[in-house]
Parts: sequence; C-alpha cells; structure tokens
Amino acid sequence: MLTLNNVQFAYPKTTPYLFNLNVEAGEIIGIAGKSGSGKSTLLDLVAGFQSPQGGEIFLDSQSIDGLAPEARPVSILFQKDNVFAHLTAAENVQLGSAEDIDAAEKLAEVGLTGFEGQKCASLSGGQQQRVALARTLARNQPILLLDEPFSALDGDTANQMRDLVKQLVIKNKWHAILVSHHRADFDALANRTMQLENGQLSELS
Amino acid sequence: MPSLPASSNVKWSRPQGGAIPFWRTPRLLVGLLIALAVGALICELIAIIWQAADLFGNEQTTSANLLHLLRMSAIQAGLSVLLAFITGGIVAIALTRLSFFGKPLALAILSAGLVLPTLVVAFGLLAIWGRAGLINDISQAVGLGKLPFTIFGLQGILAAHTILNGSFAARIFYDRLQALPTASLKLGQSLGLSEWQRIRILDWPVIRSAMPGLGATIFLMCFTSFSIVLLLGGGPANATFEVAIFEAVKLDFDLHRAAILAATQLGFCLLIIIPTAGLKSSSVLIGAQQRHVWQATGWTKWTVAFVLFVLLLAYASPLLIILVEGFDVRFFTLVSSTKFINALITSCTIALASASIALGAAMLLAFARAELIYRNASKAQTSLLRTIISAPIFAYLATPAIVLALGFFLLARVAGLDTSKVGIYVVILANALLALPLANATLGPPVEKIANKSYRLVKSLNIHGWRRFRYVELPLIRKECAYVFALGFSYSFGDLGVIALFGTDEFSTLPWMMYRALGAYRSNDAAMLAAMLLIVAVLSFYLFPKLLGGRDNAHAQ
Ligand SMILES: Nc1ncnc2c1ncn2[C@@H]1O[C@H](COP(=O)(O)OP(=O)(O)O)[C@@H](O)[C@H]1O
Ligand SMILES: [Mg+2]
Repeated sequence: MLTLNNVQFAYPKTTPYLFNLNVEAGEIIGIAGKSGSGKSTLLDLVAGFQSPQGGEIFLDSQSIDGLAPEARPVSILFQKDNVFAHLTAAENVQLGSAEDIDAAEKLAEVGLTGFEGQKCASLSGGQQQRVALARTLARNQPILLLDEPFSALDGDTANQMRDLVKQLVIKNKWHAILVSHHRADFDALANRTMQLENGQLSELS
Repeated sequence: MPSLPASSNVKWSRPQGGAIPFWRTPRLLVGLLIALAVGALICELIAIIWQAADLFGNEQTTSANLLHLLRMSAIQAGLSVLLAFITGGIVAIALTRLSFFGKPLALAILSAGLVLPTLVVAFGLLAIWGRAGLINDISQAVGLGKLPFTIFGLQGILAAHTILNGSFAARIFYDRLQALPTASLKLGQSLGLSEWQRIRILDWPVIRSAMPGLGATIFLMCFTSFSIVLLLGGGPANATFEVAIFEAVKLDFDLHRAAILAATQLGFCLLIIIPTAGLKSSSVLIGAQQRHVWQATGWTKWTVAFVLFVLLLAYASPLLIILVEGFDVRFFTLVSSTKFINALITSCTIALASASIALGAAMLLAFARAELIYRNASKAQTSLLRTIISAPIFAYLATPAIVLALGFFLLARVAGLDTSKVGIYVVILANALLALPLANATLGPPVEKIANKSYRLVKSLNIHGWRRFRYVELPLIRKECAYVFALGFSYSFGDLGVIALFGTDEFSTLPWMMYRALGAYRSNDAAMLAAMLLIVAVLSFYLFPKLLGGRDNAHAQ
C-alpha cells in the first residue's frame, strides 16, 4: 500500500498543503481539483521532485522520503512530452531500465508491434503515450503517477489508452494516482476519487 | 433573445482576404513610409559607395589584398564562433544544473555581453593581459618575469570576442534550454539519466538547433568587428575590413580605397545574411520562467560549479578590473574638464536621440505588420506587405557601422556639406538604423502575438487607433519597449564605429575621447572613461526598464 501520512508542503508564500492518502496495489485513485489547486504538486512529492516539510510517504510501510527521484519506485506519465522525440520507440522504452529488456515485446503489449525502430517524433500523440506506457511496463515500478495523460488525446484514442492503463495497473498490481479534471477519466478508471481543495484532500461523492 | 445589431454582423462576416482600404489604415501607411524611407536611404548609401569604389576603373587595390583581408577576417570570425559556442555551451549547461544565490545576477551579466561597449572589453583585456597589465605585474612581482606572449594579435581579438559572444551565446543557449518541457526534465530525472545521457538526449538537440542562427549572427559581428581589432589587432596582419576602411579614411584619406573595401565587405555580409534570413531569430528577452530545476548532485555538482565559476570569472574579469582601475584620485580632474563634460553631453544627446528614433521606428513598423492581422488581410497581401516592411531593416543587419558611416560621409561630401557640421546628425541616425534590426526583432513578435490574441475582442468592442494603443497594446509591450530603448541607448552611447569617421577635437563622444586617450598613451584617462562607459551601459539596462517598463509582470501570460 502507498501511504501519504500527514504530508505537509508549501511553496514560499502560498497556502500550505496537507495530504493524507492510501492507495492499494492494483488500485487507481483519482484526484480532482481546479487548475492550480496543487494536483501536480502532490505527484511531485511522491516522485521526489519536492520534499515534504512534514509527515511521511510509505510504500508497504517502508519510507521512501529519503530517496532521490531516480531511486524511487515510481513511473510517471504526463499529459505530453513523455518521450524523447529524436530517440526511437525502442530506445525510449529502454531508458531507465537497468537490465536489458525486450523493447519489442513491451511495445507489442501496448499495441505497437513493429514500431521499435521508429523515431518518436514521427509518431502520433496517442502512439507516443503508448510508447511511454511501454516504458512503465519495462521498468515495472510499483507506483504509477498519471498527470492528465489522456487530456491531449482525442476521444477514441483516449478511451483505448484508458482501457490499457486500467488493465495494466490491475495486472501488475501498481499503485496508481490519476490526476485529471475530466470526470470521464475518473468514471472510467478510478476506484475512488478525492477532491483537492484548499490544500486538502477529501472524499468525493 | 435579442439579435445582434446588423452592423456588427457585417464586420464579422468580412470575407477572409478582403482588400484592405489603404487610405483608412494610417498605421499601415506610416509603417510602409518608414520602411520605404529606410530602404531608400540604404540604397542611396550603397549606390554612393559603389560609385566611389569605381570598381572597374581603377586597379590600385589589388584583389590579392582584398582576398587576404577576406581570408583573415573569415578565419578570425570562424574561430570566434567556435570559441563562443564552446564556452557559451558549457556555461549554459552548467547553469541549468545549479540553482544558487546570485544566479539572476550571473544571468544579467551574461545578457550584458551583447550590449557592452566593445571598446571597454578590449581595454579590460589590456588591463589584465597587456604589457603593463595585472598578470604581468603579478608575474614579475613573484619573480617569473614578463609573460612569454602578448595580448596583441589574433589571440587578443579572439579572447575579446569570446568574452562578448560567449556570454551572449550562453544566454541564448540557456534561454532555449529553459524552454525544455518540464515533463521532459522530470522524466529524465525520474528515469535516472546519467549526466552524459542528459546532455546527449536533452541539451544537445536544443543547443544544436540554436546554432545556425546564432552562429551566423556571431560570425557577422566578429567579421565586422572594429574597436576590438583596432585596439588589440596589433597591426595589419589581423585587420578586418572595418579597420582597413577606417585607416584608409582617417590615415591615408584614400576614399576610393575605403569605398572598394566597403563594397566588398557589404557584398560578403549579404552573402552570409541572406541564407540565414529564414532562420529563427534568437530573441534575447528573458523567456518564460521554468519551474523545475533538475539539479546536479554529488561530485558532478562541484565540478559543474567549479567550471562555471572559472568561466564566469574569465568573462567578468576584464570588466571588474576596469572598475578597480577606473577610479583614482584623478577621476575628479577628468570629469570636471570641459572636454569631458562636452563629450558627455554629446554622448547623452546622441544616445537619447538615436534610442528614441530606433524605438519609435520599431514600434511603428511592428504596428504596421500587426495591422495586417487586425485588418484580416489575405495571405498574399500579408506576405507581400510584410516583406516590404521588413526587408529594408534586414539590410542594416548586413551593414557594418563603418560602412554605413562611410556612406554618409561620402553622401555629405557629394552634397557639399561640411562633414564636421553634420556629424552629430549622422551619428544619431546611423546608430538608430544600426539598432533597428534588433529593436524590430524584439518588438515584432510580442506585438503580433497581441494582435493574434486580441483581434476578435478588439473588433467586437470597436477599439481603434489611439485607444487600442493605449489600452490594449502599450500595457503589454512596455517591458519590451523599455528594453529596446535601453538597448538603443547603450548601443549608441558606446559606439566607436560611426564616430570614428566623424569625430574631431570639437565633436567628441566618450568612446571617441577614450580612443584618443589610448592613442596618446594616456591610459589612466582611458581607464576612467572605460569605467564610465561600463557604468552607463549597465545603468541604462537598470534604469530605463524602471522608468519606462511599468510593473514587471504587465503581461504575465
Ligand atoms: N515551483 C513552484 N514554486 C512556486 N509556486 C509553484 C511552483 N509550482 C507550482 N506552484 C504553484 O502552486 C500551485 C499549484 O500548482 P500545481 O500543483 O501545478 O497545480 P495543478 O497541477 O493542480 O494545476 C499553483 O498556484 C502554482 O502556481
Ligand atoms: Mg498540473
């Protein structure tokens, strides 16, 4: 279980945040909130780009607070720019994995059979998101942070991507946090949804 | 639900690409007139140089001579570009790895590279590396004797050019690197990319894409370098065309030879500039601030910090020493002399006037182009009119200060005017024209951005003319205007290229006075004048944005 226990944080001269959150393995927790409400900040804390000013973050009762971002058991998917455009799909998949992994196999799992040698710059937005997803598969980290990863995709592509993510989270028992401001994302994916407002999380509906 | 008034319907449904009634678009008219005037002027100047050169009538200046000049200048400029890229790239990359107290100051110093009076940098280098410079003094004091090399020659030119353009390149590279998507940085960090991978995957593509435009700019600046080569060149072996023209006019009074040199150089500059016309201009304004800094850690951090410190010190040391040497007891004697006061007044007048002209012209040109957007001009019309408005300014990018000055000089003589009487007007106008390309590149994009964003609103509210300027445009471009003004001011305040042909004992500016002091081996006076020039340049970038810039985040989008 991923646990945020009274995690406190504030940027200079802004309202402080106080986060309490539990995410079970295989679960996707939705985080709703207005733009600027601090959703990305929450993910930054888990990913290690910001350090909590109080409280602790645990994965299966082990604190991950002291770890540098690259040492954290975390994969991230942003709205865009998830791949390095001038590298091939396979190279992108292999980045950040210690041992040699079979990029082609991972790409096939997200429906991109035969795309290994393609430069990512020549792929569509949806395909790029899948390449990034294949990379999270390759790294297979227990925490998956999703920062509006469907917002830049059109309807059908977004739906396919949602299904794929849901399926992979359950299969690999990832702990996923999904940030979005589209209800549809939560309806399709989230086991539970929390509202982020005034620096605090509260159960939604 | 009440329907919209018919009149507003009519406005909205104007077919895309309708003809523009010129007589009803004063902005467009004014812009076109300015462009035409500026264009006609450069044509006239080129024509007169061409005539004076009389390329086919006279064979005094051998082509071997020209070729030698061309080759040496090109080699010098090429090496300068290389060194600026290397040092600038390293500094920029290092800066993205660290966040430290004083980083904004370091960035400000780097931006100054482009606008520092070149004369000052050359002098600073002399003060450190020259025969009577700091290093030699130290070296002798500890018993090592004289330095085994001299600052005069190619090495001195390259050092000065690297300081000026390396800091400029660093600033441009850094701004571009700052534009890397936050997501890419966070991903790279989270994936644990090594320092080497980070450079190869993230930094290098950005830096490489900035290289062609920046390289062409730096090449031109070094190819046409004047003050630095004049001071540090150490003889004809390393002369540029500028210096050769200056010597032809001032020492030999051989206007014919000067004109041949100018014509050749102009041709060559155009050759360089035309292919780069399509390249993105490298804007020097402070870009959007980026939130995420991927800091280096461990020993990498200390290595990076050390390298950065050494390079920044190398960039800044010639300026620091000027500040140290420039102020001694004789300072007050100098600044209270009539000569100094006259030169100061002349310099200020010239700088204020030419900065105003450059800013005014750049604004009017930008508004004219934006008018095409407001008026919904057709594609064909837009591209034609844009070219007419922009092309003449572009020509000045290829025209070095001395060549322009020579053109005016010849023009004055042809018109029978006394060159010493018209000097001040020429210097004002020439400096304004020389600043125009940069002013235009700075103001153009934001004004067009405003037009693109707000033209629907502006039309539906029927805000026109003065009111549009006052309430829609001005508030959003004040910062850029202030920057352009500061740029124009410090540029003409530090000019030596134009004044070099017109300066006399009576008609003198601070740079001209400094040059004369150096020529007369009054290096104390020169040091004090250099310090003055440096301070004014820095102050203008601090003061004018304060005075004209309005609140800092007038356009926080
Ligand atoms: N590095 C930072 N420094 C200061 N303020 C920040 C920083 N990053 C984000 N903020 C501010 O914190 C608030 C929350 O930002 P963010 O977490 O990105 O919101 P969201 O993702 O919900 O849109 C915003 O007001 C933003 O301007
Ligand atoms: Mg966000």
